[in-house]
Amino acid sequence: MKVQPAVRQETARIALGTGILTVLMIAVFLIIGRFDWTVLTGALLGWAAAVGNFFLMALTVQKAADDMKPIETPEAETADGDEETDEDEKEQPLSEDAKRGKQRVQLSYTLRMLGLGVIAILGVTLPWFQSVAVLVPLLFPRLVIAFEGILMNRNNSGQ
Amino acid sequence: MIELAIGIILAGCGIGAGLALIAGIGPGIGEGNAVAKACEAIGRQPESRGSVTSTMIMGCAIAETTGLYGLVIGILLIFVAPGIFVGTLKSAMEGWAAAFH
Repeated sequence: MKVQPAVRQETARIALGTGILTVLMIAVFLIIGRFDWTVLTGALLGWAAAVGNFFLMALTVQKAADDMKPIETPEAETADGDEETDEDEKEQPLSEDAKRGKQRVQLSYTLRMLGLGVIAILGVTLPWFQSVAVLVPLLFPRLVIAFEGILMNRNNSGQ
Repeated sequence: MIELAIGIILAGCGIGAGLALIAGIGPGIGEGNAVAKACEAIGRQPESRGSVTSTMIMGCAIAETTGLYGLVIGILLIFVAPGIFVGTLKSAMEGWAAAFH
């Protein structure tokens, strides 16, 4: 399967942002005097798990989008597009491709959470990893997306 | 007495972890619904595939974080919190015992 440019670009941005935040987290460990090599290995494991989870999720979404076949829209419906009736607003049943995409994403979510759970348990129980350094980077992708949104809003308002 | 207190602490941590992991159910359902609707949008307008895919990836990542918070809290409650709570309780009991004798 060929990885789409959108997936590659988003994963690279998330990897970079998560990496920067992970370095900041290590700096905090240094400042509070709790730094040792287990923090480094833990941070590396947490960063890899967070980026890997994001990449697998993006691949699943891409696969669901790629497998979607074009839906034929009846001519009459497009011609009378301005006249919205209650029947138009009613929820249409999902097509087979969309249903398959939904099931694929739900299965992927379950498996990825299982994998993350195993990684988190290993990170917490094994003595080679600092538990906080493993768990905290898992939450960084959300922060990166939030920061990106804030920066983009600021850039748009500045223009 | 202290065994009862430790038992209550462990039970509380276990119940709390179970409740925290319930948070993992919602994102899976929501993510599936969002992707199904986005797939239909792509099916109706195939030329918008790139922008819809980008938005869908970001939306899924945001939705998934809720489940991750639950997972992290659950794992902390099972593996880390009992040790901290029991250690605090034991040191507090020793402190009280030293103060009363």
